[in-house]
Amino acid sequence: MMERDHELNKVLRTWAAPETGKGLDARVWKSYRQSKPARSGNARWWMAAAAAVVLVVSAAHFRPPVQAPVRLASSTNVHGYRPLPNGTITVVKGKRQ
Amino acid sequence: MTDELLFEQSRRGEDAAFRSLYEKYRDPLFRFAWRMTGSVETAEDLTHDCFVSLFRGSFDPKRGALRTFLYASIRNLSRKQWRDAGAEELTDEADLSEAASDGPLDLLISCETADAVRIAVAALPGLQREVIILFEYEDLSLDEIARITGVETGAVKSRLHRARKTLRKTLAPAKVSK
Repeated sequence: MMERDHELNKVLRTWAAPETGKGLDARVWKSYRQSKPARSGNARWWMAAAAAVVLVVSAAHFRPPVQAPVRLASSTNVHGYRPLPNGTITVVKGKRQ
Repeated sequence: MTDELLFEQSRRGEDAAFRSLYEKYRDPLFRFAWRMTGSVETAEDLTHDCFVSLFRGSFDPKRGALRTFLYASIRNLSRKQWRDAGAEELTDEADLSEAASDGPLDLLISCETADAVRIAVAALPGLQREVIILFEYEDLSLDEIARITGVETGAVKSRLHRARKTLRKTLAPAKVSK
């Protein structure tokens, strides 16, 4: 480990650096902000697009199957059926064969 | 919170995290660039470019510490600026043709101490100058300086030793007068 030469260092430190100007800060922040929207904007766009694709694929995959309409079989033929007027009920007894 | 954690947060768009890193490293990086180049305007340009490379994703936490990356980055930017300006590559050898004709006492007579220090450090060979700046002014360890400059710790120690020897000789009157 190199020892520090405090006496030499004391003399060297008389040569002090000036302060940076405010212009430097403004330039750096401007460059930083110019690079930032492109990065974060693209990232948000891609995430939204990816989320939309996932939703569409999920909706297509989990859609319940469409069921065919149920047809009920019936043996009753009501062709020519006419209701009795006033609801009168007449019982017709058929001849036994 | 570690620098690396702040970096990850800033990558996710958290302004406060980037602000913390910026406020922590702006001045040290600027000081190094200023002492290497001698120009406030150039040092600010290099500091700006260093942070741009950071938030544009050049840093990989798996390859080392953020602090090492930032100092290495601004060091490389300084060297590129030197090359583009037509200056010599950084060396470890003193350029005897540019040796000051004034002795140490003449320097002190003609300059304030701070100016004498500035001239003495600027007269060092480039590789010694960057080591003395990082060690004496930025308080970095030899190991960290080795990682930043891409050489062995022994080479850093050797450069530091030679730089100090030259500076002690050059600035001796300044030390005595204090």
